[in-house]
Amino acid sequence: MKSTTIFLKRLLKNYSMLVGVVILMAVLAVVVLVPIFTDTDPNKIQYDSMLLAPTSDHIFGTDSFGRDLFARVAVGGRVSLAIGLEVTLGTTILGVLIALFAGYYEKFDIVVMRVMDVLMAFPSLLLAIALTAAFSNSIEGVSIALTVAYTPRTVRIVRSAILTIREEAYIEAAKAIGVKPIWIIFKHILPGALPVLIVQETFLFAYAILAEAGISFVGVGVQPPNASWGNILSDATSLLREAPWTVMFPGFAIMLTVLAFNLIGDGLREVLDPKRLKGNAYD
Amino acid sequence: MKRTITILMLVAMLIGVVGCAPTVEETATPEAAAPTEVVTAPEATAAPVVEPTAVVETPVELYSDKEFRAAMTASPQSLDEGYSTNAHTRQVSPFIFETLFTFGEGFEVIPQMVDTYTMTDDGLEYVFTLRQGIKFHDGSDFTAEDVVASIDRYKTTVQAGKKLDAITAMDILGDYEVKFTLSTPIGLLPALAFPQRPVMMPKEVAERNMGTELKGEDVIGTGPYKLVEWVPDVHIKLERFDDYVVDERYDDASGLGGMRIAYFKTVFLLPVPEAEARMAGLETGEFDYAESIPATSYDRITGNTDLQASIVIPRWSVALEFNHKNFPTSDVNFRKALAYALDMEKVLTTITSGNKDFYRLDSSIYTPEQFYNTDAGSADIYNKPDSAKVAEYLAAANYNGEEVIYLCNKDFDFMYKACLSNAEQWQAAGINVVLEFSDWSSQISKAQSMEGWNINQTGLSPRLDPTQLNSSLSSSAAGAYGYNNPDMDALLAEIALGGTNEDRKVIWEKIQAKIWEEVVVLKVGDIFELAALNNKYEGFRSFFVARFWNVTEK
Amino acid sequence: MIRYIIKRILIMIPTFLMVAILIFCVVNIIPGDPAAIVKGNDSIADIETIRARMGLDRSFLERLWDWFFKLLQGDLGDSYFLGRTVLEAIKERIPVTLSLATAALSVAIIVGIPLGIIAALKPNSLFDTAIMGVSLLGVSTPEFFLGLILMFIFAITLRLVPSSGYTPITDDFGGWAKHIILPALAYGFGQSAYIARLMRSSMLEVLNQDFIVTARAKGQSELMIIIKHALRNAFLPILTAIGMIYALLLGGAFITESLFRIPGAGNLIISSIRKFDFPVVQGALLFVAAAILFVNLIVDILYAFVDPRVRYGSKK
Repeated sequence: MKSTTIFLKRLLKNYSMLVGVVILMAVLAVVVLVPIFTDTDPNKIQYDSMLLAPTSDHIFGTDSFGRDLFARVAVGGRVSLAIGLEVTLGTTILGVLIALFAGYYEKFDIVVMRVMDVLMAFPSLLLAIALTAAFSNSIEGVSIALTVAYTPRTVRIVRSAILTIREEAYIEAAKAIGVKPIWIIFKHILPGALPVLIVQETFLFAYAILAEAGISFVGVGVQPPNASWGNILSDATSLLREAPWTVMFPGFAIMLTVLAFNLIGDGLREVLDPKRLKGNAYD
Repeated sequence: MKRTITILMLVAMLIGVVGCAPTVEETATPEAAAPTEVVTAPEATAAPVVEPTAVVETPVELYSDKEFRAAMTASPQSLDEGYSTNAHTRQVSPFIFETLFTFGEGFEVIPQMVDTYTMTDDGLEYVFTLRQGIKFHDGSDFTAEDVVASIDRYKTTVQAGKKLDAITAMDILGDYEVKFTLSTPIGLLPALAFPQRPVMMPKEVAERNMGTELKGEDVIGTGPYKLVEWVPDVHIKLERFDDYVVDERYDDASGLGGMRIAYFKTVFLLPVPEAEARMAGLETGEFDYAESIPATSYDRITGNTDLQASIVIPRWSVALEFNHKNFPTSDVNFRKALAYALDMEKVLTTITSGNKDFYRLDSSIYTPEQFYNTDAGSADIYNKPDSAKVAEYLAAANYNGEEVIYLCNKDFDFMYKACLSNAEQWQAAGINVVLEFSDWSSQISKAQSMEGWNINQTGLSPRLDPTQLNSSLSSSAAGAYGYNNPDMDALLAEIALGGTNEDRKVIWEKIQAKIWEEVVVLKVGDIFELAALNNKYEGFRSFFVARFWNVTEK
Repeated sequence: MIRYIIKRILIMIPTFLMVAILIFCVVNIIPGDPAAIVKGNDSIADIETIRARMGLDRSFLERLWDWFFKLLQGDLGDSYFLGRTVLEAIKERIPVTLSLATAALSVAIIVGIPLGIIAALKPNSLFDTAIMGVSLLGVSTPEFFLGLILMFIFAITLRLVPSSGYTPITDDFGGWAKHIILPALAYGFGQSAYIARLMRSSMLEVLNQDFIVTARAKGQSELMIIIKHALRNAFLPILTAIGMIYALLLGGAFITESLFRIPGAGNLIISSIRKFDFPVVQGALLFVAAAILFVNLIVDILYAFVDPRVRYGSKK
């Protein structure tokens, strides 16, 4: 369709967004491929190579257990990105379902919005920490906890989009003709909410990565010996003076990845609809 | 965008390299402190007088008006050894309090407030003659009455346990003479020197505090420093006790006793939990001493001419305790398998990040610096990793991959690292070890609850007297975690009877042999701690308790 | 107006109550037996007695009701392990977190607003691109990483400030400032970036509106236009944002507190979760949630003052 080609063209013209995509591809490449090609187990303690500064053998250096930091960052990236992906998918599915039905059925709406308000009155990271503890700090537990903590945002955004769309004439027309509600919801309303959703979820991926890093950093997220970017940084904190590379590399990994998502999100937002989406992204 | 990031990274790395060069601080020249004369009563005997060696040289300036500020890892929650086994309490107490007997440099028992003593052959009666002229911080004199009151009070404290129950009577024979009558011949001297020490306090204070913890104004002892101010988590301020009577029988400080000279007028013990902050304060001169610094900083300290490093040997024994009630650690075969699966050197290397100056392979509960050191029982099993034997013993224990819960914490870096290394080696040997992290106090509490765990990571500070091992080996002790062996109890009772050090060592060797035979606890090795102080001081000798007496400026 | 405020406050009450219930539910599904930990220190009693003593043998609803009831009387219960009441434990910590959050917010405002305005005044210039670029980095950097970098440069290498710890402002202002500056910068920088971006887009939007063009046509000086018209209108969304940011800062302080060893409420929550000291976790979470609700209330009221549409009630 013509609108899609226009859309893609505008997308490609947005240079900073392309940079974001490139960075993300690079990160994904490292995270996915490096563990496949390194033969040493990144969790295994290497007794003869502890705390080495970056060299050609170990381009990120080694940590206090002698483990190659590059491999650790790659493996940790898998966990962090996996959690990010799970949270994004989870909030999307959950958020959309809730918002759609709330948007369409008035009674459901009132209850749902009360609950969402309550959840949002709560500091999301603290809620996530309590929930993670409830799930014994497993990796899946972190994902579930963050999903629950962030779903309200998605619900709110999608719901307000839906409320606007609902009033559109063609929806009334469809109802008048007698199109089934489910059909209306999924075929007509949902596609209208899609742009907002996509932008929101892109930023949400960034939040999820930052959130996981934060809670793992303080020790209430992913637990050792499982690695995630957050707890790699946590172990490195006491080494800041002696071995600053152990801090810099994982930190920059997080920063780059989040930057990539922010760039992509910004670009998508500009392209999709600047006016409508302004001010929603950082809620 | 990418360029900015690369530049930032390069800048950060540059600063890292540049920042590692030590900065040289200007040290102020110390002002000469006015010497205080130590007056000794002239000897009125016909015996030849030994010329004091100090006559030829310039008089040593024994006392200064200066302050000494020490950055310690934490603040004690109590200053009363009767109520706390905490290492931080043990750190502060020797400044303020003294005991009848105490532990010397080699961890042997030495007299402190007792001058001479006699003991009957059956070990049931002791007569102590006390040193005279000793004063308490409140000005009162130390006499036999205070001894009896202090010991009576000590018996009411939580930590005393049953240690001194054998004392049936304490009779005051004179102002400076006390007779102890015992029901069974326990080793009274070590019992009076024990780490949770029965310290000497004025009679009135003791009577006021029967069954309650010493606080505030009642913290009164006979030690070289008196307590001026204690603000928990902020500081402990100690001031020289001018009427302190130096124990002239010794040439120098010995362990927690000996000849102790309080050079500094004021000593501040400051809790600074962050190792980084302790180091930084030491380098800027804010602190004179920094406790417990990561071994990785050793080169930086030795490279800094303003600082001197002090390696505290011995400091910690890395050890593993077992839950003797829960399967599979209840089975000695399984515990043996655990022992045979470990390469101890790997664990110690992990702890010190490869720095060989900071660890030592040692299978003995008592370290080589201590009298009771022996390798009895360990030759075939300590640090002898053998996968065939592991398999053999796992089979003998009927182990089928059940979960083995391993309690650990991140509060003590050496424990954290030991846990990871041990867990990795055990998992490689096919044992399904699962790590469980919590904070130290919760970990101990969980261990004591006996529920839901198998292996407990711990660290032992140097053991003082063999009777101290009761808390880990006796069937009635909570710290034995379910270990119950009447033969062991018999040996423990035997060694408690006292006797000469040599006699006791024979018994101790049997005890340690049994520890290895049954793998009651599993010792990994010794690790040393790095401390550092400003290079303008001399006379500091490391001990597991940091001693700031007998330290002077150069 | 008054009616609006009253309505707002009334709505807050059921929300608060529901938040309290939510907190209780979440905290009490955390697996972990505090009785086992308490038992460890007490070798005499058996675990059932201890459980009964702690009230853990009652049903979930009973305990919820009991906590709730006491809560309404202002009694948050006793800590299992700290040896004091929950209220006491929290009271010592809340001012610390407040001072950190306020300092961080100040950094965010002082840095973010001017930069955002400048960027808006010279759109697409080098200035603008630079500011927006740095802002983008700012929102992408986790505050603990930034904190570590600042620590490395200013505390460890240059030794200008201590690397951790906290002095209360009432004790010694200089000491407080020295200890709080790195955490405030680290924590506030990300938010300053967000404010800068928001300020910029808000200003740009206002500057493009018709009434600005009219004012220019009328001959008003650029400076007056900016001050009298643009800023006043552009500030509205910033105001809500500031309130939201302050709430965010309060809730997320534990990370910065943990890194810089600041004894605040956030740190308390973390260590209490680890120790299964549930009463403290519940109480502290409640406090933080209440603080956030309060901040939201203030922001809404201020917004009502400033925005006439809300003041006079508008039809949606």
